[in-house]
Amino acid sequence: MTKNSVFKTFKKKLLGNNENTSRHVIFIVFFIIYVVMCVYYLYPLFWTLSNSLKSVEEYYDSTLALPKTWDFGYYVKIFTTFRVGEAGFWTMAVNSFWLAFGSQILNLLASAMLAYPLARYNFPGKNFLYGVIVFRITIPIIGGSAAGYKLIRALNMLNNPLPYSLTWFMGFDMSALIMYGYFKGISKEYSEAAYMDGATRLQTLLTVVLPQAIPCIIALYISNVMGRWNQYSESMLYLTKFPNLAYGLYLFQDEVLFVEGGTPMFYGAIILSAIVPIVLFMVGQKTMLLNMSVGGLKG
Amino acid sequence: MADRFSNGNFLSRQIGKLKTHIKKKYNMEDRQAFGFCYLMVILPVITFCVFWLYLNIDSVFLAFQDGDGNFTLDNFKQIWTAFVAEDKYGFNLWDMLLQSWLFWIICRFCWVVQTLSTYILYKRIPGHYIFRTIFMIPSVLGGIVWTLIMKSFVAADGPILQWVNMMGIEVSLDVQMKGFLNAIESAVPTLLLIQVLPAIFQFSFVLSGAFARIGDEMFEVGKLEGIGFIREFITISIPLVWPTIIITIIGWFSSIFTQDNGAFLYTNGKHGTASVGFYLFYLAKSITDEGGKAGLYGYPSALGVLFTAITVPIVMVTRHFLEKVHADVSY
Repeated sequence: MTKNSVFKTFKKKLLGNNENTSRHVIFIVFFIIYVVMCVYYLYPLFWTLSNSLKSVEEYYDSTLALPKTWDFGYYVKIFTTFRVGEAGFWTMAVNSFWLAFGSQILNLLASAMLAYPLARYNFPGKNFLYGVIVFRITIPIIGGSAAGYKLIRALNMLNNPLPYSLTWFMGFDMSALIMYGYFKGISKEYSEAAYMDGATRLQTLLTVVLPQAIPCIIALYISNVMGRWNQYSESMLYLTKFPNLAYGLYLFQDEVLFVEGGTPMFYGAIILSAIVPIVLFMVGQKTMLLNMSVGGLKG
Repeated sequence: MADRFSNGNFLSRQIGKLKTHIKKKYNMEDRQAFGFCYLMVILPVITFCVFWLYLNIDSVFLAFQDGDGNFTLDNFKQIWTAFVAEDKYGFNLWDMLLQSWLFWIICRFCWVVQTLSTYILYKRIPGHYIFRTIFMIPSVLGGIVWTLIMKSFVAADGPILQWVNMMGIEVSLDVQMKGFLNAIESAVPTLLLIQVLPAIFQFSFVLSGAFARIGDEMFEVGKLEGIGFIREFITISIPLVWPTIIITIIGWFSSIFTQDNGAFLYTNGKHGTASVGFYLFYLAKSITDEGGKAGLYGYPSALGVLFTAITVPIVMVTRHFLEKVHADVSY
């Protein structure tokens, strides 16, 4: 393809075929803004990565310059030097894994257990439960953290991950509302046919409905895990002895000047802790785009 | 009356009546379906009752209790003191409210651009896939990673200050020494800017999903009518995704006091950057740091009760009016 034809295709895509002036102007303005914004979003990442590859001396010489040599030495040191209390990098990474991936398995299981009957059956109390989900999403109850700490402490769940995981099994949230919409949209014909063939209600759910809802479940799972991966509050408030990478970074930022590798190594730790959500986003972007939508609140 | 209730058979008689009523009203098939539904929802409902319902009811009681569990209004008096002077941590509640509202108002203006931006990306501007991927970076990286990157970016040895110096723009010695976030004159605008900018063009999956559900025929009709891009956006697309927008707008009002706890990571509330969202998290962390001493629960709970009491009517009224703007749509 010649340069000219590439330009023509781009122009056609940007301006469209018809003469819609407002669209042309808006698209051109936004295209320019988008390019500027891309620099705003990407440059800090690039800058952090670039400085993580410098030696401490090189970093303090100039934080703007590119690294003279790409030195991955500090990345190796992160595994031994990036520590919070007794937890090293790998311990924090494992904590991040179960806090993010584990919590969302329980959360989505609870959301599905709640959303499925609400979407597919008529039973006394159905509207009330749906109302509770909407109430919880829309009505703000502020400042429950003090009572939350008191309750978690009273139940001996502080720094006790297994019992603490019960708090994730709630489901009255946006995931339940999204699943509700998705389950409602799945045709009832297949499940009715399965039921007529002698399948139990649970079998119908597991073998007919759930496989059809997998795209939605995967989209929610990826989106929620991404949100959870770098969440520090749970580790900071309730699971202080199980720091995840996010909490580790929060604590470590005040110590960077006192450890070997200093700031460049800290930047390396930031980059490493961002890998999992970036990979998840790359893998799940399309699934999330196609399967996440909320209809309305009326049920 | 007392005899009626003291009679052990009363309860079983009532349960019997209820059973007969259910048997008459619903057939075996229905009753089995109900049993299945209740079995499915029972565990989430129990967890919800313990970790949300009980927790929030307890929060209300805690607001009116001192450290020994006796009734008191001291927690609310402390709030008043924090409004007119300072609390024991040195924060003024009125200043924090103003900071929260400032951030909230700026974010709401940005939302208009964000919605239009999501729509333009949905309409496949050239490079839309790359743009929307890049615009998701702050959300993908999560609060802590993006915060630490941006914090370094505006620090004394960060690139922004170096560029400012290169361009010959004069900044105070305080900024030169401490960076933009740690100098009192620049902390608030810097924090607002680095928190708000990522929000402006952030791509919304939920909104984009709602746009994607609009059938092409809707736009074809618009084209035949000869309407422009902005009119198409306002008169066709917005009404059709209105239910999703309602949820978004209600979400705004729900988080009017809690949205911005970014100050916790960026400045720890120093240099006038403290907001209510920051403060509530700061108080929760103080409880953890002090090992959950009995006297620490009342004040944050009282604050929660006060802000909930202010926010709930706002949300209810907003929802009521929003649902009247456009009828609920299905397409």
